Amino acid sequence: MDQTRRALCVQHLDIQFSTPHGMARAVQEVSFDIHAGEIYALVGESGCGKTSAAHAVMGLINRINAPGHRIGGRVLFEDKDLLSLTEEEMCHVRGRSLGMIFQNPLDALNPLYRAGYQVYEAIVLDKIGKIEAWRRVAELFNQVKLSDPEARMRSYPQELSGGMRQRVMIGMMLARNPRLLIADEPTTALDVTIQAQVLELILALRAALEMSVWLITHDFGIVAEIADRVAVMYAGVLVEEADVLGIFDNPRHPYTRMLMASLPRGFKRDGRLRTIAGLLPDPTLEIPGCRFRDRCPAKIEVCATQAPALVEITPGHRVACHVAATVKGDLPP
Amino acid sequence: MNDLTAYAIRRIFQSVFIVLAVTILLFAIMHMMPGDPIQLIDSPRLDEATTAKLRARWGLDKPPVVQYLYWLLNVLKGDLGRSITNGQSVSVLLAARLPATLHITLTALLLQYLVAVPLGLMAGYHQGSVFDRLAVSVTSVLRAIPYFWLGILLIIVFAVSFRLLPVSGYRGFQSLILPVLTLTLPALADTLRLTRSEVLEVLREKHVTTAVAKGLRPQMVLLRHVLRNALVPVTVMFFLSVPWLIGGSVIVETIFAWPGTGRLLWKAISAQDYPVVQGIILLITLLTVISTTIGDILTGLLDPRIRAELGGRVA
Amino acid sequence: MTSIWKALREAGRNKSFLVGLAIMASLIAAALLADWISPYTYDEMVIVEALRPPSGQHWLGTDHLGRDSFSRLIHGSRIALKVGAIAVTIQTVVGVLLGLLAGYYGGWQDRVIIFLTDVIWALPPIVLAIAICTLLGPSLTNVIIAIAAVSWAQFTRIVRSKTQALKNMPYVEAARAMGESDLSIILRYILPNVIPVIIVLATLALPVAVVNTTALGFLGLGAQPPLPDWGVILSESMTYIRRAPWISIFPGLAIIYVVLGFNLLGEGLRDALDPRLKV
Ligand SMILES: Nc1ncnc2c1ncn2[C@@H]1O[C@H](COP(=O)(O)OP(=O)(O)OP(=O)(O)O)[C@@H](O)[C@H]1O
Ligand SMILES: [Mg+2]
Repeated sequence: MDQTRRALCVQHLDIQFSTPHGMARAVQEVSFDIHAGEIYALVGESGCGKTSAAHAVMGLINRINAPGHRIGGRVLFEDKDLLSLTEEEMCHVRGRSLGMIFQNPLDALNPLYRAGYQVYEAIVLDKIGKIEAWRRVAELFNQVKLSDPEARMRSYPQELSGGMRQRVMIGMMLARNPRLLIADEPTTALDVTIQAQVLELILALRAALEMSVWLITHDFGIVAEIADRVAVMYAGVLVEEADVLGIFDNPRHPYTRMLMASLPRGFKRDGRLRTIAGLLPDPTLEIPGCRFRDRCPAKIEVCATQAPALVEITPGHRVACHVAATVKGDLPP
Repeated sequence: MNDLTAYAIRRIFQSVFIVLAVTILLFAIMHMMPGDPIQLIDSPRLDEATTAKLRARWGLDKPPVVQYLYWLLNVLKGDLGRSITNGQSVSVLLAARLPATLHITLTALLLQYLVAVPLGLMAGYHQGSVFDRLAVSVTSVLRAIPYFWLGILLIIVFAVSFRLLPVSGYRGFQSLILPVLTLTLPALADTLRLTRSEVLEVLREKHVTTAVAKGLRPQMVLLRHVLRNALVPVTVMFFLSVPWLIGGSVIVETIFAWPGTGRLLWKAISAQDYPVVQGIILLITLLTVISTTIGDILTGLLDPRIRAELGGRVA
Repeated sequence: MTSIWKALREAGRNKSFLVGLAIMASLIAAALLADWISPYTYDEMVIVEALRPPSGQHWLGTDHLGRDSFSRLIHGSRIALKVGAIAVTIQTVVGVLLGLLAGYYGGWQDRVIIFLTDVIWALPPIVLAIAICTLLGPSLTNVIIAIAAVSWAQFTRIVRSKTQALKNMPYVEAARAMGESDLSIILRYILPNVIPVIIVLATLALPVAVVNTTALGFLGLGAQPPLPDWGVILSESMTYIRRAPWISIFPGLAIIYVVLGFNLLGEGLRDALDPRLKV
C-alpha cells in the first residue's frame, strides 16, 4: 500500500447551519488526510458532526436540506477542490469516483422504484448499453452477496430487509468503481449478525476494488476490527488522530480515554460508546478555550481561555489537548 | 391474481353497491313526492279506467320494492323516464346536454393538471423565491374566492368592461374561455399548492439524497425521484376533485347560460321536473363514483407500498 | 385540556392565526352590531335612488330597488355567520358521534357508517345540497339541514381513525380491563384527545358552509328576497351587471373576507394543535 498517496485531503473544513437560535457550528476547522487504500475511521458521539462532514465532502448539503448553511475550507480529491466545483462538475465526481452509503438504509432507497432499477440508474450514467447495464446490475447484486439476485432486483425496497437494503446501497455506490467510499455508520441500523456480514463485505470489496474507505462510526469494536487509522471528533473538532494501534495502546486525549474506559472489555461486537457524563456544548455558542473543558477531568487553567491546536506528538499521532503531554497512565477519577 | 387486481375488483364491487344505494335513495325520494308519473301527465283524456290500466301497465299498483326493481331495470336499459315539462325522454335530453358539460369540465381538468403541476414543482423546488411567494399568495386568494363569484367577476372584467369575450352561450372557442377559467382557477390553485407541499416533503426525504449521491443530475433527480413521488397524492387528488368540479359546473353553467347538464338541472329544479332532476343526479353520481374509483385504484397502481397494503387487506 | 390551552397560546404567536382571529372578531362584531353600524335598514327602498354608484351617502352604492348596499352587506354577515355556525354545529355533533361509534365499536356499526359516508360522497356536496333544498323547499332552515347533511362525513372519517388509534392505547385497554363502561371510556379518554382535531375541522368547515349558503341563495334555493343574504344579493345583481357592477363586487369580497379569515384561523389552529392533520 502506498502510504504517501492521498485519496482525500480535508483542510480547515468548517460547517455552519442556520437554526432558529442562530448559526450553529457543526464542524470547526477540521483537517485530515485519507491515504490511498486505507480504511480511515471517524469516531465520535452522536451529534458531533460526523455526518455533516461527510455530506459536505459529497456536496450533499444544499439550500433545500439546510437553508442558510455556510461551508468553509477545502476538500482536495483527485487534484480538485470539491467545495469549489459547480453542481454540474460535482455530478461527475459523485457516484463515479466518490461513493457514499448512508446511516440508515431503511429510507435511503426510493420506495416507488425496484431495487434493480435504482442501481441500473447509476450504471447507465456511464453511457453503457441497456443490456450491458442490466447484466452489470445482476453482477453487482451477486457481488454484494444478495441471495437470489434476480428476484431481489425486481423487489421494491420495502420488500427487502434492512441488511438487504444496505447491500443494495453498497452495490449502487460501488457500481462505478469509486476511488473512495464514504460509509456513514453502515451497520448501525442493522442486526448484530448482519453487521458482521456487511463489514466483511466492505473489507472484501475494498481489497478487490483497491479503493479507500472513510468509515464513520461510533462503534469502537468496528474500529478495532477493520480500521487502519482513526480520528476522534468531539463537538465539531478533531481531538485526536492516530493509527489504530496508537489509539488503543496509547490514547492521549482525555475524551478518547473516557470513550475507551466506557467500552465494555474486549470490544464486543456491539461495543457502542456508552454515554459519558455531561452533554455536548450548544453549537450556537461561541466557546472560548477547549470545547471539552466542561466534561474534562484533567482540565487546567489555560483550557478556559485557549483552544488547543491539533499537534503531532509522535509521528502519525496528533492530539488537541493542553494536558495531553502530561497525562500518562490512568485518568484521575 | 395480483394484489392490485384483487383490490380493483373489490373496489369496483363496492362502487356498484354505492351507486345502488344512491338509486334506492333517489327512488325513495321520488316516491315520497306528491303525485305519481301518471297523475303528472295531467291530461283531460285520461279517465279513471285508463289511469288504472296505465298504472298496471307501468307497475304503479305494485308494492314499492317491485316498483323500484321495475324502475331500476328501466334505468339499466337506459330508460330514465320522460320530462314532465315537454315529454321528452330524459336519456335523450341528457345525451344531448352531456357533451357541453364534458367540454368545459374536461378542459378545466386538463388545464388544472397541466398548469398546476409544473408551477407547483417550480414553486416547491425554489421555495422562498419571488416566484414561490407570488404563487403562494395568488393561490391563497384564488382558493378563497367562491367560484360563482369568480364567474361574475370574470364577466365584469372581460365581457362587460373590456368587451373581449362573450358573456354567455355556447358559441365556439371564445365562449369556452370564461366558464373554463371560472371552473379551473380555484381547482388549479388547490392542485398547485398540493404539488408544492408534496414536492417540499419529498425533497426532504433521504432517498433524494441517495439519488444525488449516486451521481444523477439535478433535473433527473427532480423529475424521476421528486416529481414522480409527489405525483402519487397529486394524481389521486385530481380524481377525487372531480365531484367538486362537477358541482361547480352546475353553478358555472347557470351563470354563463352554458347549455350543459348543470344548466338543465337548474331549469328542471325551477320547473319541478323531477324525472329530469333524478336523471341528472343519477348521471352525476355515476361520474363521481367512477372518477373516485379510478382515483383509488390509481393510488395502488402508482405506489407499490399502497398496492401491497391493499392486497394485504383483501387477502 | 391544559394542553389545548398551551397549544392555543402557541397559536397566539402565529401571525396568520392572529390575523384570522381579528377577522373573525370583526365579523362577529358586524353581525351583532349590524343595526347600529348600518346607516339604513336592509329593506328600505328608495326607488328614485336605485343603482347609484358608491358615494358619501351610500358608501357601497344602492341596488335596483334603491336599497343601501352597505347596510345589506352588514346585515348579510348576520345570516352568513348564523347559518354557518348552526350548520357546522350540527354536522360536528353528528359527524363526531358517528365517528366515535364507528371507531370505538368497529364491526357492523363501522361498516354501516363508513358505507353511509361513501354514499354521501358519491355526490358532489353542492349537488346534494341542491337536491335536498329542492326536496324540502327554499328556506334558511332547509339550507342549514342541507349543508349539515353534506358535510358531516369528513368529521366522521377523521374522528373514526383517531378513535381507532386511541382505542388500542395501553391506558384505554387498562381502563377497559378495570371494567369501566364504554361511555365513560369514550368520554374520559377518547373524546378529550379528539377535541383538538374537532376544533380544527370545525373552524375550517365554517367558510365552506358560508360559501355553500351563499351558493344556494344565489340559485334561489336558500334565503329568499328581501333577505340580504350575500348569495341573494349576487343573484339579484346579475341583471344589472353592466349598469351597476359594484353591486356584484362587494358581496364577493365579503365572502372572501370570511373564507380567508377562517382559513387563516383554522390553519393556525391546525399547526398548533395537530400539525400532521391533512385537511
Ligand atoms: N440540515 C441541518 N440543519 C441544521 N442543523 C443540522 C443539520 N444537519 C445537522 N445539523 C446539526 O449539526 C450537528 C451535527 O450533526 P451530524 O448529523 O453531523 O452528527 P453525527 O455526528 O453524524 O451524529 P450521529 O451519530 O447521530 O449520526 C447536530 O447538532 C445537528 O443537529
Ligand atoms: Mg450521523
